[in-house]
Amino acid sequence: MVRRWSGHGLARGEYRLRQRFVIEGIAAADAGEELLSAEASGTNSALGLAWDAGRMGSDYEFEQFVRTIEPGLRRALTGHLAREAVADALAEAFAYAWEHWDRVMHLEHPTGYLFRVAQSKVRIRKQGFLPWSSRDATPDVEPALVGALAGLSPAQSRAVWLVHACGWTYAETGEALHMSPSTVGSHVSRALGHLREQLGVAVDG
Amino acid sequence: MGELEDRLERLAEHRAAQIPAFSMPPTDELAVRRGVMRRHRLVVAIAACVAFALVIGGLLIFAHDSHGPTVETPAGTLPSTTDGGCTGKAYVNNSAHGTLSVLDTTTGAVTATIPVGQPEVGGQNGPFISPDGKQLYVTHNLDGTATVISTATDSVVATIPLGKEPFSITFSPDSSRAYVTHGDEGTLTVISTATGQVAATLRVGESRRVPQPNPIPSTMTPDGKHLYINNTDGTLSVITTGTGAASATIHVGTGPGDIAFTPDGKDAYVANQTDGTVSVITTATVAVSATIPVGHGPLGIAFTPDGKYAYVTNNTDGTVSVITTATHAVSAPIAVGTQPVGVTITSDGKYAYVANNIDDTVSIITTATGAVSTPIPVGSRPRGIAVCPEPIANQPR
Repeated sequence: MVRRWSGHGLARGEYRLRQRFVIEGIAAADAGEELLSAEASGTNSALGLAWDAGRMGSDYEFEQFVRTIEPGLRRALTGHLAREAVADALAEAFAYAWEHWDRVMHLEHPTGYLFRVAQSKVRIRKQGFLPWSSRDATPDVEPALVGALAGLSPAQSRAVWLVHACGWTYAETGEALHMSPSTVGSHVSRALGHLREQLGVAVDG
Repeated sequence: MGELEDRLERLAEHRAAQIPAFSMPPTDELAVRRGVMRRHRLVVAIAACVAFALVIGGLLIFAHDSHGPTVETPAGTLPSTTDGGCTGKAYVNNSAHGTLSVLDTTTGAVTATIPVGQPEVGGQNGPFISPDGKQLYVTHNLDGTATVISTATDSVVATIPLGKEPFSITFSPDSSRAYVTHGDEGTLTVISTATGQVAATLRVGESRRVPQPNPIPSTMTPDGKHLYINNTDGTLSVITTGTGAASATIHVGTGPGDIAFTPDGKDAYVANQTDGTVSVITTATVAVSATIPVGHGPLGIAFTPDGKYAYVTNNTDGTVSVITTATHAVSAPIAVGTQPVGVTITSDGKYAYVANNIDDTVSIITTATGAVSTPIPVGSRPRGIAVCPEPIANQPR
């Protein structure tokens, strides 16, 4: 069985189901929504749906890949990029994924990898957390938190952003930041400590 | 989930909602783009081949005038060491200093500093002391080597090239083999400690990133039959040391750190850094039998020699929790330095040594009273710490 891509930014059940989709060769996205509903309702009868072999080409597979990981990648990129750069970075990342699809489709943590690609394409891999510009129509909802995040080291702010704001695992975050999961954990731990101190948030919050 | 984590999520959701979702261009446009890129890559590949040939030619000319490799590679057997050279010492990995500090466990004083790595390179893990106390290893995951130190002389006796990302080392009970986990895809390197040569390379798992980088991600069961590897994704893999085959996967908490076995080998304790808990694994059933809440960011674990207590460093809190193994009761936290990482207990069980990563110090806890010493300055960013094992002749049978 060939491991293909897995999802980010998905609820755990959805993630598992989409993994099963790919692993079992079930690639009908429209049917997928039905499957998700079916699982949520405690039934799996929709799993009996035949998959549309005619749509199983790489184009279609890539479309599903984009559809699945785009929300998580977009969310992750909003931490350390200017607001106006996020869309460009997303486009660059997916263009890269398309150009290297044969390789990307087999990655264990493709979202983390593409996060790194996007950062590289816009050449700000070492930048710290960015407050969004004041000319934004909708200012940040957590100005104090944004200020505290901006006070962290780039590595700490990226790690805590991906793990706690975006729900990534340590392994996924490690892939994105090119560091070991244990180093991610260390950065996250320190970042949370600093943030709690800065914001006066109790540990059990 | 705490308030802070909720606020982070809210901020991310708010930001993401302001960015329009990426829309897929028609796939025929993508196909055209991919065709163009392939032609570009062909041109780049040809240019790279030419450049590669030029570089190799230059290196051959340079090598002709050079004096051999810079990495010391052991040949034959390593210099012999004597029993007892290790007794009464503790070693601290100054991870950002490229050194080990040697502490006298009788006086608590730093008696020597051993250069073992390059501080500008980093990635220094350990120390890993063989059960017979004769050798001490430090791995360097960024340059792919291990440094071997004779504990009798506190000097470097070999540097072993190990390949990609060597992290932790654990030893067979007779000290004849050192097992090295790597941060690459599922390899385990076995070193003969007598020669310093690689005796075998085992595949552990199939195309999985099994051994993930962690200062101490793997630990040998006291009987030497199995290796518990921390996958750092909330699971441990149990590997049969003879074959490298994975015999079980154990789900523990989130962000697992150290793994330590009780001296009788019946239980393994795992510090779950993110959850603030310790998972207790019954080794007979290879299943989690209890989860014990401790402080925030638990990372290091060490048992007293009688197995009655486990000392756990709470990295976030700057404290140590003591678990009574019979009841799983947890003591009031003992304040040490900032962001403690490694903990180790002297062979007489009287003292626990704790490496305070941010303070560049070591705290000594008197186990009978919980009293904490004045911090002892060591090198920069101490992480791992280990005391020498009791000489075999003096160990309880």
